[in-house]
Amino acid sequence: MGLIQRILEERGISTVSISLNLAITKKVKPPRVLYPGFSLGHPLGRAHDREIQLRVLQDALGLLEMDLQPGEVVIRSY
Amino acid sequence: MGKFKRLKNQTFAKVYTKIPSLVDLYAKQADLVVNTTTPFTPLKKPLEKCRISLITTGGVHTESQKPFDMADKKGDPSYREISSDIDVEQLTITHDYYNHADALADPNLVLPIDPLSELLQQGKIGAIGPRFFSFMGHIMGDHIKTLNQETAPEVAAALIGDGVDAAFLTPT
Repeated sequence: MGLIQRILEERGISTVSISLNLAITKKVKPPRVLYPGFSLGHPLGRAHDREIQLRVLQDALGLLEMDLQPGEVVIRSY
Repeated sequence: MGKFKRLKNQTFAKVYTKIPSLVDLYAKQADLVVNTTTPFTPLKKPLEKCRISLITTGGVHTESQKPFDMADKKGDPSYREISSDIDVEQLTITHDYYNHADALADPNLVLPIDPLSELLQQGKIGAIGPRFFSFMGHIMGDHIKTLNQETAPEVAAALIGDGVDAAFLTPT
C-alpha cells in the first residue's frame, strides 16, 4: 500500500494513509501516515462503528492540512 | 494453489490478526522494499474544496468483478475500479492474507465509503471522485515491478483524470 501511495504522491496527488504496523511503515516511508493502533484488517477501527470510522477518516484527512515533514507518522489512540 | 495452501494462508492471517507482535517479527525479517526518501505533494487548496478518492489494498471488489488471484503465491498486482456511488452491501473481498471477516461484514472498515459521504454532507470535503480503487495487498517478487511500473501509475493517471486532489489509502 505504501508503494502505491508513493507513486500517487510522485505524480502530484496528495495522499494520507493508515498504518497498522510501524515497523513496515518505517521501511516503506509513505508520505503521510496516521497510526491509530488498530489490528490487521481494521484500518478504520471497528465494523459497524460509524463514529470511530468517521473520526479516524476525518483525523487522517486532517493530516493533509498539517505542517508535516515528508514521511511523518502521527500516532493517535482511539 | 490448492485448497490446503489457501487454508494455511487464511489460518496464518487469523493468527497475525490475533498476535500483532508477529507482524513486527515479519516486518524485521521480510524482504520488504526499503526506501530512504519520501515523495511529497503539499495539498494545493483547503480540504473543504478538495475532491477525495479512496484506495485500499484489502482485496475489495464487487460481486460481478473478477476476484483477485489467490492461486499465484506472489500475489496479484491488478486492481478493481469501484464506482463511488456503490452501495457497500454490493462489495465482497478476495484476500487470503488477512482475516477479513469483520471487513466483509462492514466494508467501510477498509474502504470507508459511507464515512466519506458523511464528511461531504458535513462540508468537510469538497467532492468525492467518481471511482475508488482496490488492490490485493500481498504482492511479491516480479509483481512488485508490475505494481510500480504499470498498475499503480495507471491508477495515478485515472485519479488525475478524475480531478482528484487527494487520496486516502488503507492497508489491511
